Amino acid sequence: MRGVSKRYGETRSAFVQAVDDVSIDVSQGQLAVLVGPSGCGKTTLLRLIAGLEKPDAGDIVIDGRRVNDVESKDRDVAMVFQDYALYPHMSVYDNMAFGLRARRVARSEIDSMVRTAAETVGVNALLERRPRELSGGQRQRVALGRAMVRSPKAFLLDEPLSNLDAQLRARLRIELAELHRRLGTTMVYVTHDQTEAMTLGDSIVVLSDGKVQQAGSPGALYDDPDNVFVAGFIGSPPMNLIPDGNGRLLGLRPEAMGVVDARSAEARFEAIAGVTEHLGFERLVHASARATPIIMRMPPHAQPPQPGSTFGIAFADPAVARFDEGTGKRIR
Amino acid sequence: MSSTERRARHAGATVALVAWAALSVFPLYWMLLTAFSPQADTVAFPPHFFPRRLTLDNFAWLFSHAAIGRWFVNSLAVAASVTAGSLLINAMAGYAFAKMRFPHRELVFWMLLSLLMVPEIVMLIPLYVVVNDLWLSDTFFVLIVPFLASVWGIFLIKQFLQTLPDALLEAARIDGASEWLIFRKIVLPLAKPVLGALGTFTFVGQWNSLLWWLLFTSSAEMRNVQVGLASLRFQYATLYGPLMAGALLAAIPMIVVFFAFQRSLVRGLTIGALKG
Ligand SMILES: Nc1ncnc2c1ncn2[C@@H]1O[C@H](COP(=O)(O)OP(=O)(O)OP(=O)(O)O)[C@@H](O)[C@H]1O
Ligand SMILES: [Mg+2]
Repeated sequence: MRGVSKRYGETRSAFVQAVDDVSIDVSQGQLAVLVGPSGCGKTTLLRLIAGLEKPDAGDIVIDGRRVNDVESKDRDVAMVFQDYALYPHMSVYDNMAFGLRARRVARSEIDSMVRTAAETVGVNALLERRPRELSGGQRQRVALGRAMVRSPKAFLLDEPLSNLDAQLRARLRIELAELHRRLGTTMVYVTHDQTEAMTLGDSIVVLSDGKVQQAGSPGALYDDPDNVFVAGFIGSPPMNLIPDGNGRLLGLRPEAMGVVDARSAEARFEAIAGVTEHLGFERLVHASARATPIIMRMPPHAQPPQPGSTFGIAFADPAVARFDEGTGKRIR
Repeated sequence: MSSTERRARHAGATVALVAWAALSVFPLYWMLLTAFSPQADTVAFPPHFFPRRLTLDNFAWLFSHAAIGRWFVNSLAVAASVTAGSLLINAMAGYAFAKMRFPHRELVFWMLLSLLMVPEIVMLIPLYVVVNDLWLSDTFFVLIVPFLASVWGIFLIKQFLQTLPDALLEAARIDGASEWLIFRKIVLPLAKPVLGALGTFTFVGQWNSLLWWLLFTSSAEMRNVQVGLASLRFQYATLYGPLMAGALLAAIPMIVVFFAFQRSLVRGLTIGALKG
């Protein structure tokens, strides 16, 4: 996508700039994740790629071809909708066969293609059921199977796991990554969950307010955020942003900070300890430094500071990212 | 409230309902009785409330002296083609108004809706003139074509289709379906409940149509059942026996249609494709 913009609304004064001058490059075979908070324009971006919306400006290119004026059905992409959008009056089999029949694939081929796809997503025992007779996870799989069955150039997935419970989500996330590895098809995956983005993405695009905040590999986004939005969005818990008193913010990952005695030479500044969460494999110490709430990550057997006590925070300089407090931009 | 008082009220309600039921059933009973009684019994005074002799003479008379077969064929042909045709056309228009984007969609729709405020009777005379000028009276054309689109039907279908998630249609579009295929394979099947209801009303309305046929048909072979039966009432005498026999026959298709469609009305597809 090159410089794509899209606004909703009829009048010139009342509109929503859903997508604002976005350029994204997804290479063939990649799993790219678009991540951002609710309402930032993720769905709109996918709909633009799928051809369900027309961009107001910019170009959309698939496989070297500019597709701005190409209809959805001729773009050869498949989409998994946020609400699955299975055809309620058709069996699972017919749901999956619909796209093939629409494209006049021979009947004998349809049957084997549907069965192969059903096998891949594990719904071959459910082929005669109607969508309303399926569980959420099964509907999810059928939606994936329906997208897969005609081997499109790319899959577009809009928060496919968002309405499933945490366990199922974690399992399907792994299955999706596995599926992507096996098929090798380009995927554009939309989510508002940064964990999902970090575990799935070959590359991640962070969006906010319809604009690209930063794009890169999960590692690059984590280690090297471009602005405070990305710093505060990626990571769980996210980067701590502590004002240094000179119009800058010090960005420190929770694991980049150590607890030391407040009077020791290593202490860079003081903090007042709050509660500690014991998560088994780690401890999260809540504290407040320079009137800013922060979270520190400690190994499971370290002794956390007493709630209410004052302690010192130590960190090494290379671990700090500095941001301009006014613009939120990284200072390099 | 004391229990005697409650019982008294209950009894009162029961009596009222039984009276009401008797009042509504009696005309049907009378029709049945008259249809199967000889002519002499039907005009007897004081009337016989219970059958004395039962006979099929009235039916035989209908088939030998009146063209009831022809009337039935006319009624059925017109009602069936209007029902089928108008369902298709109203569904297409309703779908367009519900889901397609085109300039001035709302304006056009409201203009159509405003037509509902014009009483049909007002348009009858102008229509009569137009039909006559076009030499169309006494043809099937004038009996069928004017009813192939109805604002009310379009409105009903539009309201129903608006509740379909757009994502379904978009999924089909991405799946490679043409607009016509989407209409046929997604929209029509999902609209079954509203089509069933509208179809029943249209059919019954057409079957009972009297005024339109009276105005626009003149020849004997262009009568429908209702007009045909009305012709059994002469200026000085009415053949009650055959009239009621005919009315009984005329009720059969309506009852059949009603029960056939009732199942599809009740079944009502629930939209189960969404999460949750
Ligand atoms: N059809 C529409 N008409 C008007 N405004 C719209 C329309 N669709 C989306 N918007 C607006 O555009 C912006 C982006 O919406 P979009 O659906 O792309 O967000 P999203 O990132 O997918 O959010 P979510 O995570 O909640 O699904 C929002 O402010 C939304 O209100
Ligand atoms: Mg969305």
